Amino acid sequence: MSDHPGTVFVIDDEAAMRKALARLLAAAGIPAATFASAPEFLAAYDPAAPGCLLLDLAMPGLNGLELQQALLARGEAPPIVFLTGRAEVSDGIRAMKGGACEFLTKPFEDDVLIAAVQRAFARDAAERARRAELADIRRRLATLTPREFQVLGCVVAGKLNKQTAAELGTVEKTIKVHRARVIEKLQVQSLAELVLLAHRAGLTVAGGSGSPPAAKD
Amino acid sequence: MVPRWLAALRSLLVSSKTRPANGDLMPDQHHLHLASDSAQLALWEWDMTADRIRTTALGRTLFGLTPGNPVRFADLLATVHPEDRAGLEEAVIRARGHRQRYARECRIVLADGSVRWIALRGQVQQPAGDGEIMAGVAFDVSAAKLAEERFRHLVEVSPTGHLISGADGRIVFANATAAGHFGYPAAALAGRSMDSLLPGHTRLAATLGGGTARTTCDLAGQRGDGGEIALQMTLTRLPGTDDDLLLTSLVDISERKRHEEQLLRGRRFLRDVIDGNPCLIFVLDEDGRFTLANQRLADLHGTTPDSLIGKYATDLWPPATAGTAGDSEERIVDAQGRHRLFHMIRRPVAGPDGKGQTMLGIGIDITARKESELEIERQRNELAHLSRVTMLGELSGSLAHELNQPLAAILANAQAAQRFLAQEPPNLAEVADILADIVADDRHAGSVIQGLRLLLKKGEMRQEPVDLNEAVRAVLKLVRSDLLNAHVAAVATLAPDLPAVRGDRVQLQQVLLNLVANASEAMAGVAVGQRRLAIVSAVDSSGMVRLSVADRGCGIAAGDLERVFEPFVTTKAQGLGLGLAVCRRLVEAHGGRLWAETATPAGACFHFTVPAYTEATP
Repeated sequence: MSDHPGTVFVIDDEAAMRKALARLLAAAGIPAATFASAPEFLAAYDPAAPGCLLLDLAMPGLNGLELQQALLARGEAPPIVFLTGRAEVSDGIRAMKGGACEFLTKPFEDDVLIAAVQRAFARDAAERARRAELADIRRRLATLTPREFQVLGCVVAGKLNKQTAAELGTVEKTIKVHRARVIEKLQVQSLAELVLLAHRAGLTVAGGSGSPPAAKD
Repeated sequence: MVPRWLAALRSLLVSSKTRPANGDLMPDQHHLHLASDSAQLALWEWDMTADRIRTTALGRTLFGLTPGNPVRFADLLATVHPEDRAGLEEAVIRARGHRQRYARECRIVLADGSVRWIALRGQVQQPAGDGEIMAGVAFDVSAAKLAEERFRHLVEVSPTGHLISGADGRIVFANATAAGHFGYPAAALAGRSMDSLLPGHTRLAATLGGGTARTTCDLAGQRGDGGEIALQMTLTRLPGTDDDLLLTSLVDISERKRHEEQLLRGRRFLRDVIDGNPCLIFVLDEDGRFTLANQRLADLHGTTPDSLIGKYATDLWPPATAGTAGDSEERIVDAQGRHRLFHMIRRPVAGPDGKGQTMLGIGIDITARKESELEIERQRNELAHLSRVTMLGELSGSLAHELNQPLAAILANAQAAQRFLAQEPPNLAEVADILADIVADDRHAGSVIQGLRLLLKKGEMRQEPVDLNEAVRAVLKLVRSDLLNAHVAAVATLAPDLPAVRGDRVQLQQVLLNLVANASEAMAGVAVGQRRLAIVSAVDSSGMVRLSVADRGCGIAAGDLERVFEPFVTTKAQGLGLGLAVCRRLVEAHGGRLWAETATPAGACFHFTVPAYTEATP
């Protein structure tokens, strides 16, 4: 099923469970890679590879929650479906706070697991699409001159050309030229589209004297 | 009627003065003289009218009279001992008056003061015209008198009492000893009836045969002071008497009776001691028959001690119980059919005759002790079970996890299999693999449940070989999930070739489980990376198998190292504080020891030892 959007990374210290999960996923046509411990996974993990984690909560050494924290600390947050032998609310809360997408208690029904994995995949795909779009916007924003960036800030803030010209200490005509250049460089069709794009890029109205936003995921 | 010999005598005595009337008499006189001298008989004649006494030479010698001088009756009396004088005189006077014979014995006091007993026999002759004449003989009876005196002395000083009684049953003689027996002066007994002193005497005497026949019996003599005296009485006839004199000899047997009674009392006391003893006491002869059995033994078999004598022990008991010397525990079924347990001690002892091989047996009833021991064991097992149940309750999360794991794998595998089967074509190879895994997982779950059931089981302590290394592994499996949650890393250093120990696997696992759970809890306040639990198995220098569980927790104060084993001493919010107390009792029931030490660098270390299993140990 190479056409599938990603791989499930199964991390469980119990060999039998690991094997059963991989099998179930395979039967559902979902590719899976198995790891016996959190360190083993961390050593092999490539954040670029799409997919999600099927993570056992209780493991010797680094446990599931600790692995989640470690990934967050590294700035990599693949969707995680937690598996646990015992349903303890405190663990569930911690996992969800860390951005877990599912918290399943063993034993679980196959379709529940597969649905959870599918949702995680969808979330991963959405996240990856969002990140790709953002990267594209940033790439386009990066082509703007500082002056054009200042003008963009004022446009997004909803200022009139006259106001912008006054703020930047120039004439309205010059501002109009900058605006046309910005719209051209950012490849948008309308002013509304420009505002939306700027918003996606995380540009705020705060302060006209902006600079391109720091790359943040 | 003058006897012929007296006429001759008279002729003899007058021979020196008168000529014989005819020659015929001469040989008679001569012969009589010869005869009287050789018989040591003195002849005498007293002319009472003239008061002249004539006698043969032997007569003068006997009376110590000087030859030649005429002798009168008074002269003769003067030689007689003063005490006998009056009696003699009276007898002579009576004989003279009644013209009778007389016989008298009296003492003569000689010039040198010595005394001689003589017997006098005399008779008044029919006067032949020349006045009254008394004539007779005298002879020395000193020897007979001395013998009689000695015999009398013998009788008087004899430790045996002697009574002589006549046919009328009245006493004619009593010696001092006999008088002493009855508490009277000797003289006071004469004339008393024998029956008043010795009841039944007459009746007994009537049964006595003639001649030298004798009869002996023990009886109680009636003392003058109203008391009684134990006497052994022997009745014989006094020899040579016509008037049926009975000699009654009496030996004081009070002392013997007292001894006998003392002995009897002693025996009775000893018997009471033996019968009052709550133990079985018996003696068997070399054939295995009872020669002694006490009341307790008789009671046990619903009989009497006497009726057991002579019975074979094997009639009551199996041969092993009846058995030979040594100690053993024996089960005896009593008369009510109840089983009693006895500690039997058998020792060979010399028989009462100092010979033979007799067996002294003592049986101590240990039924109650055994029962209480069993009760204690039962309670210990009960407590151990309770403590296990409590502990397993605390472990239930971990156990649920242990069960959940294989169940989850089984479900996932089964559902995967369903999917593989639904494919076109069905992936049967994969399904076969899955089924194998499902079987394995199911077996794993089964083993968890089995272990759990074992721990929850209520049972008597078993005695079987147990591999403590295996027990460690089983316990670590049970608590795996708990230890994971508590971030405790457990390291087991198990000695290879560890000998098996004798005991109950469940109970030993319980002890381990307790120690591991305690160690884990003790480290709750320690930094996560430092929570290390070390389990070590080894054989110690004395050959015992030792298990140590060490933690890195806060440790135990030196003063509390023993206190932690007291019941209800606990540092936990939950729990009764019985865990370690129960553990110590369990280990001690295995013949081992459980103690705590302070570990280095930090924490506490609990050790327990259990004896290694050997075929020989019972």
